[in-house]
Amino acid sequence: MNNAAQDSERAEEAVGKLLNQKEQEHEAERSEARRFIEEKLAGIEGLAGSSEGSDFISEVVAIASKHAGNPDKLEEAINNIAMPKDLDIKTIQEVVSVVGSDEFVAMTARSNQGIQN
Amino acid sequence: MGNPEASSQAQEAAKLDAQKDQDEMTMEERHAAIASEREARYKAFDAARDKLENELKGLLIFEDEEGEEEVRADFKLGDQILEVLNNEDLQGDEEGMRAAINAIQIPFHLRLGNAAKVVKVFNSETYSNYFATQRAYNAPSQDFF
Repeated sequence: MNNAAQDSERAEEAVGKLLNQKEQEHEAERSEARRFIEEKLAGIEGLAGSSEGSDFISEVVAIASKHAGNPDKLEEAINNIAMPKDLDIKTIQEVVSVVGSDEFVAMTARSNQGIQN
Repeated sequence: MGNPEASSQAQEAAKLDAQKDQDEMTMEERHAAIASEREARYKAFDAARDKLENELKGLLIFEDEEGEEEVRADFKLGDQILEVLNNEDLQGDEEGMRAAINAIQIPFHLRLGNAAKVVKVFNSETYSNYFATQRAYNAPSQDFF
């Protein structure tokens, strides 16, 4: 193998390592975003503990991950998620404050950066 | 430039005059003034209540994508809230009233988009103004004199 070929191989390896490292970093950010949403919603007393509440939280997390790259689609999909039955006004206010929070949007956007990159 | 000392004296004199006028009010005039003040506070509260009622009317009869009313058209959140607001036992008990409203349950799967519309009412100036005017109305009249 000549020098040029060796250089090329080394460059490819370096790029591969870098991409792998970036992907790991982005996956960590996506996980952090998912964890953030899960923890915030699971901390709401009226939601915690019921299977309907857990399903709802999982759905919000899944939708946030799925449509992270498209704010309009994300909003539409989030708006269409059905909440558990018999929630009281206080719980509904708390859920909306999490899903509508700047933190939620920021975390989703950060998670999306990873997907786009 | 005016004389600061003279200005201060004039202010003091005006204050004394106002105090004298008030002292000279007859009992009847004082009662009339208190009644008038109370009526003004009631009018402000009544107007705030009307505004809130108008915003609550029809709340939670939303249409789905096909134009059908969502799941439980017979459940009107606005009516449930108005029932609490008009509950005689809770008049003047802001904390109790807020707690009773917060405890109202929605007996179906409300979608998040509609939940946001509901929450918007509770975060509105109209809602906080309702309680502010209610507080003012229930405050003792002597506080204003």
